[in-house]
Amino acid sequence: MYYYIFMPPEDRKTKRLYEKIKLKIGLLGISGEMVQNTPLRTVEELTELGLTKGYNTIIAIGKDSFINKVAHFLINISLAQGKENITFGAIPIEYNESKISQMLKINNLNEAIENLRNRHLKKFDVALIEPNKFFILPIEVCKNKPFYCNLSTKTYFIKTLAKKIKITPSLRCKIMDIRSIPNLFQKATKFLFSAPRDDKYTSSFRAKSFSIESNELIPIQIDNEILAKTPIKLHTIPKLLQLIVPRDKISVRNN
Amino acid sequence: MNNEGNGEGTIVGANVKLQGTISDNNDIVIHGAVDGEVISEKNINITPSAVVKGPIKGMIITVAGTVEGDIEGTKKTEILPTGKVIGSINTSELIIQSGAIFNGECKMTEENKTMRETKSEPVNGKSKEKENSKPADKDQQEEKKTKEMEEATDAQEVIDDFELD
Repeated sequence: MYYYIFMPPEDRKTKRLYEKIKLKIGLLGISGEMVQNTPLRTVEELTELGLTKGYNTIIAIGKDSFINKVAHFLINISLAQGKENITFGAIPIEYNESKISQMLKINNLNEAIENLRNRHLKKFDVALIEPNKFFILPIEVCKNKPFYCNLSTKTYFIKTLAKKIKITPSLRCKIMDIRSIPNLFQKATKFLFSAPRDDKYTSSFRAKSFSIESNELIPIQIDNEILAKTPIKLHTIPKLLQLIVPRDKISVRNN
Repeated sequence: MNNEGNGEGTIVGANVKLQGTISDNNDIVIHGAVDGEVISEKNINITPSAVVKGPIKGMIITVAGTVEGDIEGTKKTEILPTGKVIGSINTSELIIQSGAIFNGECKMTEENKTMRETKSEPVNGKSKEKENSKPADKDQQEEKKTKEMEEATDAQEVIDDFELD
């Protein structure tokens, strides 16, 4: 049985979408307990309740930041309770720029629910921001103006001026300078140039753990929700979270 | 998927100052300033804006920037017209283009050459002797290399990861 945690609906459209999701879940025979995050019932409480009730599969329905929040509490609580084999699933409510839908390779609601029914599992890397913030989606360290920052890994130390830093749960880090982000004019005239711009101002590397420091407090965010602020220490924990992913599609060639 | 192993290597941007050892199983491209060792199992590209102060070890090394340190390119080392190398080069194939600056010693290894000869020619007494005498050294060198790579940590595995656009 699945335990569904819904994000509070922001408008009527989302409410209608939730009704549709509930109907489809029922029709596909994967219904379970459905709860909704409210000011009285926090995500943490709901997640803990689900695990205490003995559910092994927790599904989050909502935006990227909400899905990440549920995953964060799920990992924290399951580690604290020593529970293994906890499975996590997600139904994103936005598909255009959603990182979770990119991660799960789903383009619409039907695919997301079908995915849950098929229950194909895969373990994913999770990153930890010390002391106890987990994230399963790429985070961004950015501000409205460029900032100086120091990144240090076990073997090297980087000093740079950055506009934005993107970090995946596997701790692949991309540091973007103001010159590597195209301005409005460059975006508008992009079609005139066939060859891509020579982007020598972007740095990219991967480490198992590293720290970021800056001379000011820079927010670390997912989907515009702030997770933490610099200075931070990050670690990646390989294959920590078991996620429901789509089955591999087999393409048939017509000769 | 979170993560389809794309084998993306390390890139040091033009505005970055890096101190320490960079090691990667994939390609390394340097546009900025590096003060330390650069080690890769594949290609290393030092672009015109790059300044590296320290030894470089890789399979194919292309230098278009400035390098102050020893270079060890197991397969090939190339210095482009904008390149400047101050230090010794140890490689099996060396290309120095017109306009490049190279101040130092060069040592050409014959490993690849010998292998090519033994492959193309029928069994030759001399090449056999060479082969017999080398494996122990080779093994030692390989072991040393793998140890160095492991020690340097943060060595990359083929992983599933997000594409960061």
